[in-house]
Formats: sequence, structure tokens, C-alpha cells
Amino acid sequence: MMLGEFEYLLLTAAARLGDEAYGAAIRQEIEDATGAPCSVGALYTTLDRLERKGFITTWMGEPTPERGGRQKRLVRVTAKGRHAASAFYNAVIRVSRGVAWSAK
Amino acid sequence: MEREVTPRGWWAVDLLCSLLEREERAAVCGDLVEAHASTGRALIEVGGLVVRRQAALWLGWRPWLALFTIAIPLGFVLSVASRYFAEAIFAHLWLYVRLGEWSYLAVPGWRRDVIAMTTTFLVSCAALAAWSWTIGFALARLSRQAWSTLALIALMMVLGTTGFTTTVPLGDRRIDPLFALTAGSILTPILRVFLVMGPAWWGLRRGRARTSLGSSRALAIAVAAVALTALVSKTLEGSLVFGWGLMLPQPGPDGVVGTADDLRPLWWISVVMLWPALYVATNSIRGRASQRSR
Repeated sequence: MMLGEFEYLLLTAAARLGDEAYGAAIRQEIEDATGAPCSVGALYTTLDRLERKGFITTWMGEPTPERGGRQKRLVRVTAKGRHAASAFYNAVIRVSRGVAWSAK
Repeated sequence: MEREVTPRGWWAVDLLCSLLEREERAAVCGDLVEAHASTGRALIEVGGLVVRRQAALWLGWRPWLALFTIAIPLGFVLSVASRYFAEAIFAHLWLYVRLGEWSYLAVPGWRRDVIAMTTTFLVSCAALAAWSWTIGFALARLSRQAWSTLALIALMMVLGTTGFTTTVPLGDRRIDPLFALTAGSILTPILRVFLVMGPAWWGLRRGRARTSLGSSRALAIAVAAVALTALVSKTLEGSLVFGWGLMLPQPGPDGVVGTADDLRPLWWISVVMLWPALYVATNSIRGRASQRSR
């Protein structure tokens, strides 16, 4: 089944961040890209959904002082996740061919 | 730039976060601290996640089973029963204090009556506690993650009849106002706190624990609940008939209400009150069986 729009944004942000991909950083990437706020609820429920589908793996990192001594949830995109994101991207490119706004 | 979450506001965020799983709590709260979120923003974000998580829990059947077979119906029965028991206890105490004297204890009939009433009160209180404990345990075990919502609904049902009376109508000038006030406003809340909410909270905590209850202990609790329910079954039915007025009292063949041959159309209420106790026993036996099979 094709990825959803927000799932794609999340996977792409995580892939770009690489080893630094975790909740707050992914959220900031998405907000910077879309110009719209990204809710914590949507982020973490989507992380769970992507992990259930096998598109990402997550684990708890070390606590840091910047986070008040709290751990962060780190994210890594799996090969299956990269394949799904690539399929979504190619589908968007194909369906956008010849459409006026795709040239901007 | 938004104001950082202040220590004063943080306790509210922490309180809301306590409804999340431990690891998610750390991740979400840490993200909010890192983003320098204001108190209001943090509460909105965490609240949104809590609502999503709670809503997802209710996609399964277990929370609904707990809601419609335990939290709502048994919460209501506990509410009516606790108030009826409290008023009955207080009415007898009031009579003893107003009409009795210490010298009456030398009279065998009076003494027997005092002992019988005391025994009845103690058994009623023990039954309330047993029902409440098993209800709390069953709610938590049926749906470990939705327990907070279920407990809140059950609590609302128990407190829902606050302000109403059963056998002591307020505003009735034939009734001593001090009696009416004390029975309804003082003794009932005391009974509910110590014999309903306290045991229910204990049962909830035990039900949420990962460790099994132990089949012998579970069976002992179930047997105790059955015995206590059998002893107070008529009083329990009376709380709904005479106390709440769900239906008119139905006399038996002798045509007199309050005699031994009265019809008991609500006899099944006692069985319904025992369902959490039976769940406690079967859950424990099933848990032990699965441990042995590993």
C-alpha cells in the first residue's frame, strides 16, 4: 500500500537527518519544509505506524542535559522504508508530469 | 520566542504525561523541553497525544466490555448500595443512641439485637470492600492501558448519586434534619472513601501489576466475595428497590412487604456483582496455566 503524505515527510526527514534523526529533530525538519506546525501527537503515532510496517526502527537514546535529562527516541529508516519512500516519490513525479505547478 | 516551560507549569505537563507509557513520556517531554515550548503549548501537544493514544485503545473489544459490564452498571450499583448501607447503619446507630442506655446491654434480647446489627454492618462493609476491590482489579486487567479512563467513568458512576438520598428524604419535616444531614452528607462519603474508593484503588493497582495474583489467593478472594454477597444479597436488592425505587416492592403470597416470602425480582443483581470476582479467579488460573506451559 502506498505511503501517506505525512508518512513520506517523516521518512524523508529521518533519512536526511541520518544518525541525528529523533523526535524533536524530525519535527523541526517537517515544520521547516512545510511551513506548518507538526503536532507531537501526529508525529509519534506515525512513528509507531511506520515501525509496525517495518519502514523504520526506533530505540531510546541517552538522556541529555538539553532535554532535562530525558531520553530521546532515535529513528533509522530501513531498506523497506527507503523503497516505500522512493516509490511514493516516483509516483508523485509521474503523476505530476505536465501539470502546470510542477515546473515551479 | 515562546516562553520555556516553567517549573510551575511543568507539574501539569508531567501529570498529563503520566498517562503515556514511560519511554514515550521521556521522549515527548524531552522534545518539548528541547523546543523551549511554553506551558500552554506543551499541554496542548501532550494532551493531543494522550487523546490519540486513548482513542486507539478503544478500537479493541476489551475496554468496551469493561465499560458496559463493570464500570457503568457496577459503579451505579456500588453508588446506590454504599449510600443505602450507610443510611441503614446510621439509622440503627441513631436509634441506639437516642433510645438506648448502657444498662440495656444487660437485657439478653437487646444485647442479641446489638450483636446481630453489628454483625450485619460488618458483613455489609466487608461486602462493599470485596466488590470494590474485585471491580478495580477486573477493570485494570481487562484493559491495562485504558484503566485510567475506565476508573474515571466508574468513579463518576459511584459519585453520581451524591446529593440524592435513599431512605432519608431531605426536606421532609418529619425527619430530624441532623439525622438526614449526617447520614447523607457525612457517613455516606466516609463509607465511599474507605470501603469503595480505597479498595477499588488497591484492586486497580494490583490488577495493573505484571505479576500474577496467585491462584490460591485469587480463589480465596472469589470465595470470600461469593460468601459475603450471599449474606447481603437481600440488602443489596433492597437498596435498589426501597432505596432507589427502581421498582415497587413485591410482596409474596401473604400480601405483606418485608416478610420472608417476598418476591425477589432483582435476585440476579448479586450474580452480576460477582462477575469481577469470578474474572479475578479465572484470570489467575489462566495465568498460572500459561506459566506452567512455558
